[in-house]
Amino acid sequence: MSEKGIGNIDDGTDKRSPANASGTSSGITRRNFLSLSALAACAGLGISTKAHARPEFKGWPDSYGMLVDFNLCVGCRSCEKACNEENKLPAPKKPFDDDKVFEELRQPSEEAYTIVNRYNNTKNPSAPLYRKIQCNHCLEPACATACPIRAYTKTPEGAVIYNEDLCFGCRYCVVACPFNIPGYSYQSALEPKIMKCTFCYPRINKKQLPACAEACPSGALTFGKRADLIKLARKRIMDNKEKYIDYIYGENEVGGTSWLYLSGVPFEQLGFAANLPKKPLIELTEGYLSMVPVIFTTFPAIFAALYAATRYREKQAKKEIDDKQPKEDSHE
Amino acid sequence: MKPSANMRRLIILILPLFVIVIFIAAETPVLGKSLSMPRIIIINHIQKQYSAVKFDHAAHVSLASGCGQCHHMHNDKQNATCKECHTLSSANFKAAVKGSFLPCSACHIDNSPESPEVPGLKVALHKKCFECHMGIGDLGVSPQGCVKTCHTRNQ
Repeated sequence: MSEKGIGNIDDGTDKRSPANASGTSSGITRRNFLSLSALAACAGLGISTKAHARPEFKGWPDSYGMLVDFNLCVGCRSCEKACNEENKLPAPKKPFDDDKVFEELRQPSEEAYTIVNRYNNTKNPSAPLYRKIQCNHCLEPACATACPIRAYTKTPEGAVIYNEDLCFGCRYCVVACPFNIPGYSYQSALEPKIMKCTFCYPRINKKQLPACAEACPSGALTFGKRADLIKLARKRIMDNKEKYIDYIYGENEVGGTSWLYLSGVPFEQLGFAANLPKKPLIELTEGYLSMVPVIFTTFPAIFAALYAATRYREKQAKKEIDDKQPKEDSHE
Repeated sequence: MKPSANMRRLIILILPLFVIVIFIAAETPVLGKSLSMPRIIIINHIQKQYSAVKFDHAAHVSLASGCGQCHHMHNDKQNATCKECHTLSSANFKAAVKGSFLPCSACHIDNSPESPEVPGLKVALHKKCFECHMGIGDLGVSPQGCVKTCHTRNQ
């Protein structure tokens, strides 16, 4: 019994042993093969990401910018009105001289490319502070990076513009924008489009000032070459050290923006995002995104090869068993 | 004898001071006397949505601490040439220095992207108004401040 049993067991193990043996032996090689191929893939990806490392881009030379000085803004909303008229946007629900809009903090939308919000002034409570919000026209725009069909263009003049005809309404740019700017028009289901400040690109091309800058009476908006504006901003800070905080918002945020801001109070108090990286957002994603084509092209090939290899091994093992089986039978 | 000697010393001390004071007084334009100033200025060439603004220059002169509160003066134009602010000619040099100032619009024309440090006329004028008028007539508190303080809408 015991012998038989053992024999049986032995037989069992014997029966399984070739398959098992081949299984374990091929398991080791398979593991080796897997780890090797994974290493090779990683190496390939590593090389590919290195190959995609971009040179540092400091923006187009001589591009335009806008310096917004919150110490000068009086909250007259002339910029909002001018923008509305220039871009032929729908008439607002409340007139432009209505100060009730200041009761809530607004955000630019497809109906208003720029808006002005009111904030309490911690330095002087009787004189509220105003902040104009619109597209900042990043030097390396995340919206343009995210757009799958290149509907966005960063023009050498500094404006980030978009082609309505190309836009198919994926709204990736809405998600990608670190400043929550692009507005999505739900007015037409058949012609979806993203809408945002265009820096009055057609006007810039005609050597005119953007409509908001032309309308601003207080000097809160200064249009000029971005490089000149940075110098001007520094001079204002140097000349009025007690009036300004020593920081130009937009000089380095997300790699720099064409719109620059000066303030007398910390920018967080005006609702600015203070924790934005100083490098363009594209640097956070390009490594991963550049892997996508590599993965799409190499991974199917790798897995197909793995599948073929395992199938071959299995076939070989089966063949070995089949070869052994008739021999054992012949012995018996 | 003694008082007269003291007097002489006093005169010697005071006389130069007196002369200096006269010189300074001659150099300082006395508001409304040595300068021919406009009383009311009608600003009617830059506005689009508002009617012309009547600016009471005389009232502002009486309130201001000096011309320099609104106008460029020699102190803040150290590196400027005379001709940047005065219409000078060799024929009437003395009269011209005191009388004929160039209008603000000689330099402050439009906001130009080529010289962002020089504000256009609209901004240059408003900036000066806002320096004192903030908070008065809701200026800086409500967008209606513009109408309540200075402007009348075009009908």
